[in-house]
Amino acid sequence: MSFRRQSTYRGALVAGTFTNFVWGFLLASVLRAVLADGNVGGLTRTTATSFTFLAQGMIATSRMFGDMTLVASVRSGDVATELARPWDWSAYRLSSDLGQSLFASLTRGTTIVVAGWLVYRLPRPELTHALGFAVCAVLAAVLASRLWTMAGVASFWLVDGTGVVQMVVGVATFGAGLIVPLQIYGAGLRHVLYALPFSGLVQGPIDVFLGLRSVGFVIVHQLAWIAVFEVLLRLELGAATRKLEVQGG
Amino acid sequence: MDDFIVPSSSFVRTRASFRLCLRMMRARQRADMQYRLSFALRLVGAAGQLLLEVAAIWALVHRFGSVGGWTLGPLTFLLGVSGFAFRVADAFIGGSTERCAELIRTGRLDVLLVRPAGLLWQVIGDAFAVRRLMQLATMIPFAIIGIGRSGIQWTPLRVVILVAVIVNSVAVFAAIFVLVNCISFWAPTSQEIGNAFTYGGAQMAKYPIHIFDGWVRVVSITFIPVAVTVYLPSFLLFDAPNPLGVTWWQSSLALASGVPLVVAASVMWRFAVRHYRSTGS
Repeated sequence: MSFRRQSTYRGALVAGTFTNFVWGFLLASVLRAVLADGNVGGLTRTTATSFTFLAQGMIATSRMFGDMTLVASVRSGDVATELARPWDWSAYRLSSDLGQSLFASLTRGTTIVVAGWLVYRLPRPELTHALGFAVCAVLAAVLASRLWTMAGVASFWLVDGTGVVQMVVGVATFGAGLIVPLQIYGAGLRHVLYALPFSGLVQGPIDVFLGLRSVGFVIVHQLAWIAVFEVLLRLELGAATRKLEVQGG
Repeated sequence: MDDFIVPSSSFVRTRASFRLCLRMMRARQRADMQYRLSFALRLVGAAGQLLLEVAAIWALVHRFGSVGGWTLGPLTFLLGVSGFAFRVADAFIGGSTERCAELIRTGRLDVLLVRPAGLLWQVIGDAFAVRRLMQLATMIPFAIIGIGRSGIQWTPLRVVILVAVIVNSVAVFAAIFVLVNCISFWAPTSQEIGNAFTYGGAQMAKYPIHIFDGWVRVVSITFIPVAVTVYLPSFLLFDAPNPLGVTWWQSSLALASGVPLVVAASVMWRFAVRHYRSTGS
């Protein structure tokens, strides 16, 4: 259902894809200039370019611009209706989020990656790496759903939770390796960022695609954080529904 | 509201428009502050997001020590000064012109048009966001550090040039914002495409332009002229590798490029507003 809802905004879709592509292109140019013939943590001119376009594509999968729908639904009071329905609300959010991620990945995500590959004539990945990436990308979408739902539920206490979601977007974008790949940071910060959940949103799946990390390691990292987030989300939701005051009449 | 009615001269009209703009900003800020905690969190969110973004680019530059032959000093200058100038333009012009698309779609632009005051002033007042001021404030330390570490051999002339670089950069970014967002008057649903040019342009301005491919460099001095903001004039301030062979008169010309661009932007804006035919609902 949410898959079909998304497909109605074609103009915005094209514009967003174009913007992401320009962004990827600029970062790729910079990384290509600084890496020249060098190699930083497995990143070379070619792999860094691949990384950049895959990362722009993963924005679609992990919805890295955040999710304001829950914030809006708390403001309008619609969330009360959603919660009152006889289904598991958390699972409902997950399925709706995955629909969005799937649609965005197949449209803008794939377009950006293919465009990057054509422009820079990037090498084809190994089949096992590509399959590993596919699994990790699905888990990234699940992780993203839990993260954005948690951020959105915070607005139950705030009336307007835009700020909280924005803050999470900022931290997640940084920690996911979206601004620059995590390999660029010094050892201490890099290890912390790799351990945090955000690396599972973008950096982890791409490392698998490029053969820089083992698929098992990334999957375990993602699953562990999905489990933690699920528990936290349930706790948060329990507290939030007791707190909820429905807006409007 | 008496002072806004029947402006007698263009000076009085501009002054009245400006006062209306300030009043609208104040109203917008009071509305924003209705939910204090939410408001504070939004400010922190906006500033934090920008801070992490700049910090990441900073980390990249430090990791490699040089980009395109430029060392840390000139790179920090480029990053800080262009980032600061962009945020000034964004806080006062950018955010507002982006909102044009929304004003047109909802028909609210009609409300602003019937008032006897300058439209651009009203759009600026209407879309004012304290959040953008916060982002501007976030960039101030980066600009100061950038200027401090640039290794400029200070002379009175260079102080004047630095001020001119900043003023000119703000003017250029503001003009780009207005020019790009004029598209909204013809295609109000494709505003996001404009972001690729405005924010993408700002991103490009943070790096020495010579690291980009030939056609991107051409774009950076013609179509989206961000090369003129800091990169081209910076050769007047310090000696940095200059693989493109930028001459002193090209740097000086870049320093004055804000004037024709602002004129072009205001002509384009007037043309776009005249073209406007409401949503018809």
